[in-house]
Amino acid sequence: MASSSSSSLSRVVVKSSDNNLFVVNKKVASQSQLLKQCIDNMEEKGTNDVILIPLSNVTSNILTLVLEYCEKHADFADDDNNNQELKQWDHEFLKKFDYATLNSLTMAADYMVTKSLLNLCCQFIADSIKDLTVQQIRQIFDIKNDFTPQEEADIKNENAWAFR
Amino acid sequence: MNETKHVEALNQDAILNSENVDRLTDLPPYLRCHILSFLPTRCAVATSILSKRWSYLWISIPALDFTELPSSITNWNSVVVNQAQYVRFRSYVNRVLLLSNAPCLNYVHVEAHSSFVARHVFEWMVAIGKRCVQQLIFFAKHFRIDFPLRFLIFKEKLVVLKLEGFRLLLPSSFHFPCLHSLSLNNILFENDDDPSLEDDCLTRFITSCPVLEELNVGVYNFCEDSHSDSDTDSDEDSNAYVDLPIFENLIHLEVGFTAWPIVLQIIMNAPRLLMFGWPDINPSNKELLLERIEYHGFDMDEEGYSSSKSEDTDSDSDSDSEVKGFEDSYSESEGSMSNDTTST
Repeated sequence: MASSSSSSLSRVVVKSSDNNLFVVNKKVASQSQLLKQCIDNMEEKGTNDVILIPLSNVTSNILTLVLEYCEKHADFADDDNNNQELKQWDHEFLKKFDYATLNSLTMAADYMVTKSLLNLCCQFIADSIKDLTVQQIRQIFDIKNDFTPQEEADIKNENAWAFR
Repeated sequence: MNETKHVEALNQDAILNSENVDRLTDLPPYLRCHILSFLPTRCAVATSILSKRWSYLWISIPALDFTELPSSITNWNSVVVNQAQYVRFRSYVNRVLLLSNAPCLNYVHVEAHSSFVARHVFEWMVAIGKRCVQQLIFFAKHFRIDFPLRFLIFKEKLVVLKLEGFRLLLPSSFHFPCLHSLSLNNILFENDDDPSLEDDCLTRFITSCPVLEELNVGVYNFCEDSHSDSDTDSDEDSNAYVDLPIFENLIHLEVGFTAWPIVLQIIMNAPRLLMFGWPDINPSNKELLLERIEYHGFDMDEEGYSSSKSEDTDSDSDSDSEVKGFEDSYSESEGSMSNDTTST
């Protein structure tokens, strides 16, 4: 990650799906494998110009959050000792969001190949549904039950142990 | 242009109420499946009731965890299983094993208890053995399952293998090329093809794992019955030479048995060993080995910790067990011992 030749780029411009521009320094951008790949490709070509990376799937609201995460993690990238502090920050970071935002963030993390954020979101969502009843999950996530009562009873029967 | 530095300045409420209303069901299946993979297997299977789009999502999860017991009545060394619950549990495990279709399972963890039917547990092991698995943890607590190792088909993918409570029948040749971590506890070995084979099965087993980093062998029995009750006897003929390869990657070794020639040979063949532990060994059984290990240039104390093979250090023996004095005297004379010090 620490490739800092004289011709290398120091920052890139990222464009959200709603056409907002974000100036991101390279270390922060490198938290996303997608952005890192773009930067690496450009550096290989020897470009000195600032590059523009359009992200057609990520709105500026969500991109702001992903970049906030990347910035924090870039700060901690060289510091192994503060893992606990970073974990705490991660948790506080996600706690603020509703499920719709979490879903969008999950999608964006997947699209931008920010694996740690993707896993963090998935773990967070999983933890929050683990102890809920079926009814609660359906309600919170707006999942329409499209089984007939008979089908539902059959599934429960076949998986009796899972629904104890 | 927005600077990322200005993130905090943005109104968080505006972010939360953004137009990205996105339902969990609208996530692509592979992402929903990824979320499910963070749930205990039972909870993941239970999501099949949510709606039709969810019913078979869980079958692609690359991890299976059957550690939740079919009964809550647990005491120290046995689990009392309600028969009706066990029947449901078994049909659940069978169904999950039947439907699970991830091309490669990252992680499989099964804990079977003595109140389970041995044949069922064997069948689960066979079903899992057919799959490509990277980390396999299979504990049969307080009983023993016969398992021919040849039923473990994808040995080349295994990275972690932890077994307890098996009678492993070893084929004439087998290989675990990627196995980094091996843990065997309460294992009885037997040669499958040729029961009369003289070679020690543990030696054969670890010889087939060339890239081991972590080895943990608890109580185990030798192939031949004559050795099976020989915890102390094995010390006597311990000058026997054990043929083992060099374990270039081995850094962590923990043993719970007293076949010292094998232990000693593993230590000698592990140039990068950082940790050696023998927590369950009776101190009186350790004495003999301590002097031998130190003879080979290790700093040891009775806890078994070996920090390095460095030539000039005095091991910091911070323990207060009864063999301390013994250990000290030998660490001081390290290097000046004569060749015969180790004879019994």
